This record gives sequence, C-alpha cells and structure tokens, in this order.
Amino acid sequence: MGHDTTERLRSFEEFVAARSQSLMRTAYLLVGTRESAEDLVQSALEKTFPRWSRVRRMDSPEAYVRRIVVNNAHAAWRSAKQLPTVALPTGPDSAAASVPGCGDHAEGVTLRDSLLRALDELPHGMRTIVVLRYWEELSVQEVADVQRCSIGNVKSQAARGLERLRELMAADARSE
Amino acid sequence: MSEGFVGAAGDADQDAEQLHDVMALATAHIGAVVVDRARLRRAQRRHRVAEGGVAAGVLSVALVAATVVMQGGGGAGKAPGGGPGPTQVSQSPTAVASSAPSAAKVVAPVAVTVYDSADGLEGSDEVKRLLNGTGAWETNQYCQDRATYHGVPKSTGLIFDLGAATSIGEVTVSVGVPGADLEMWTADGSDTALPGIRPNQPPAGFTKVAGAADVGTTVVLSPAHPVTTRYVLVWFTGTIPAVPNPNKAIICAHGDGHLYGDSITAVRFARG
Repeated sequence: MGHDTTERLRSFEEFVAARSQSLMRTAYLLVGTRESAEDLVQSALEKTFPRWSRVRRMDSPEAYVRRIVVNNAHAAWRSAKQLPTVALPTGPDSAAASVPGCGDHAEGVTLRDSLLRALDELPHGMRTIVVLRYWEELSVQEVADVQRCSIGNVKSQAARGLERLRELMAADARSE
Repeated sequence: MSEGFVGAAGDADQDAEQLHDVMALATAHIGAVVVDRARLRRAQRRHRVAEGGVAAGVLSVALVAATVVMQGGGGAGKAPGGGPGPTQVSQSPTAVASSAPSAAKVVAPVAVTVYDSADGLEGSDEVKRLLNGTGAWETNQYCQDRATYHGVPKSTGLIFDLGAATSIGEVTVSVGVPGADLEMWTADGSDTALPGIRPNQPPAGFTKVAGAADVGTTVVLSPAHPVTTRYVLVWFTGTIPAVPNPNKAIICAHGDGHLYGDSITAVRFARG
C-alpha cells in the first residue's frame, strides 16, 4: 500500500474508533438487535471507505455514514417485510426472561425491552424520525434532509411518535 | 428517569429530554465496531471495479462445484471421548488424486475438532464425517465476507489430531468454495493435549507455518521445513467467499444478496 492509502486507512480507523459506537447505538434503536445494527454499520462503513478522501473533509463525516445507515435500514425494511428481531419477552416475566449473564442491570434491561417493543410498534418512517430527532438530536431541518420529506411532516411525526412511545411504555409498565 | 417518561405527560421538551435519557440507558451496552482491514481493501477493490464499469459478476466463480478429494488411507484411530471413532478405511490408489504422495507418506488424523476462536460450535455436528470421508465441515454462513463473533472478525477452522507427534511436510486441503484465505498452524512438538479455545486468538502454543490467499478448490500448505507436531490447525483466516447454497432462513439487514462461508471437504497430511 502506498503512503496515501496507509494514511487514509489510519484516518478512517480513527474515525471508526471515535464514532462507531454512536452509529451503532443509532442503528440499534432503528432495528432493535445488535446483530442487525452491526450489519448496518459495517456495511455503511465499507461503502464509505472508498470515498473517505472526500468524506473526511466534510463538515460531518458521521452524518454521511449515518445517512447510509438510515438508507440501508429502509432498504432492508423494504426487501424483507420485517427485519429479523429477537422475540422480546412480554408481560411480568420480562426482567427474568432477559438474557442472563451479560452483566446488564436488570432495570436497564427491562426498560430497554420496553423501549424496543414500543419502537417496534411505530411505522418505520416514524421510528426513524423519532430516533434521529430525539436520540441524535438532529434539527427538524436535518431530519427532513435525511428522510427527504417536509419539515411539517417531520414535526408532526416526531410529536406523534413521542406521544405514542410514551403511551406504549406506560401501558407496558402497568402490565408488569 | 424512566418513570419520568413513562409517567404523566410533561411538556414536549421535557418528554423529549426524558426519551433521550431512556434511549441512552437502553443503548448503554452497545459498543463500537471494529473494521477489518482486509474487508476495507476488498470494498476498495469492489469500488474500483464498479467505477471501471466492469461487470461485478466475479462471484459467479464461487459457484464452481466442490471437488471432493478422497483422503489417503492407512492407520486407524478413535476419536477422543469413546464415541464411534472415525475408522480409517484404506482407499484404493485410484481414488487418490494424481498429485498425491505415495500411501506410505500419508498420515491419517485420528480425530478432528472445531477451533473457531469463539465457542467451538461452528459446524461441530458434521465435522466428524470429514475424517471418514462421508462429509464435509462447513462454516456458518455470514452476512459479510468475514466470519465474526459478536461482531468481531474471527478465524475459523479445524484442529486435526495426528495421534502422536509426527513430522509433517505438507497438508493438501480441499475447499468447498474458492476464494478463501487458509492458514496452517501447528502445536509445539511436545504438546500432547488438545488446546482450549481462546476467544479471538489462535490456540495457545501454536505457530503459523504456512498460509495461502485466495485459494482454489485444492491447496497445498507447505511449511518451509517439515514440522513435528501432534496437532495441526487448518483455518480460514481472512475473507470468505459467497456460498452457492445460501441458507434462506438467514436474513441480512444490508442484504447484498449473498451469504458468505466455506467448507473443508477433505484434508491429506503428508509426512515430511
């Protein structure tokens, strides 16, 4: 490998080390399993690397990769009616039925299951908007750019998504 | 904080902030990813090919049928654990590929185990059939061209037990799908016990003695000098090719339409 390529690889690896956890967390909220999230992120990173000389000079290389992640998620939703998701435990046993031995705090696991169950209930577009708006804390304009939809649409979907999540999780908490 | 979001509705800003906290908690266990340099280089090459306008039908090569080379006969052995050991059956000379070493030089392994630098379960059901020539050992199928465990690239393959320390000059490996990278590692000559699995690492005390990249359906792995060892690890260490028989039950999120994996259909050890 020539010097330029080596330098580019090093810079890309630095980017991955610094930003991939953030990308993974977003992808996880979008698709609900660590495996699918990893798949989305790895694939996006592989698409990015050949263009890295250009992407690294952007204001936010992460935004570029995140857009690929979001697009990949939509492509996957289109091609498979539903992404493979783990059967999340429901009802009063959910804490006990969580994956043992992973060292996660029980309350965190229950809350995570509840959040993922609620996110699964949202239409894909709404779920994406909710994740970008409330997790990534993108502006309404930025979400509209990623989703290629109107600002008004982002505002209404985000508000309805937020309310719907709150209701679903509250119902979930009552049933336990 | 969770109670805040799940409880009575606050104003929108407050709800948004609380949802962010819930999301942070729910994703706290999610780690970074590791990118594999070999995969990046391949992505780069695919990109160049695409830019060059060359049809990307390279993978059709992967559809070449597996060639099963019978392994040499001689010797008998039992698998550890007292199960129905893989009895070695003498093969008629015609069954041996023309490039085969003479029967006297062939060493028959007495047992084989999976070493996948993860949990040792990859293809473990079928692996015993490799020794008596009735089947192949197959890797799992992956969504990307690299075997992984919890998202971390891993190598995966088989440790052959030769029964006793033996001087090995070369190993001929028949591979199901061309295009993989294979390496041969051997234990120290004094090792008399099967090594335990070390996650994401080669077995303790093993050293790499030979390797080949982008192999065809048959590859001869030849150490620079004959190696005296009881245990030989043959494993896929780099990118793995697209399989011609994808498992329809596996659905990949990024869906490039292929599943990746490989198999070892036969091995033949020749004395050095």
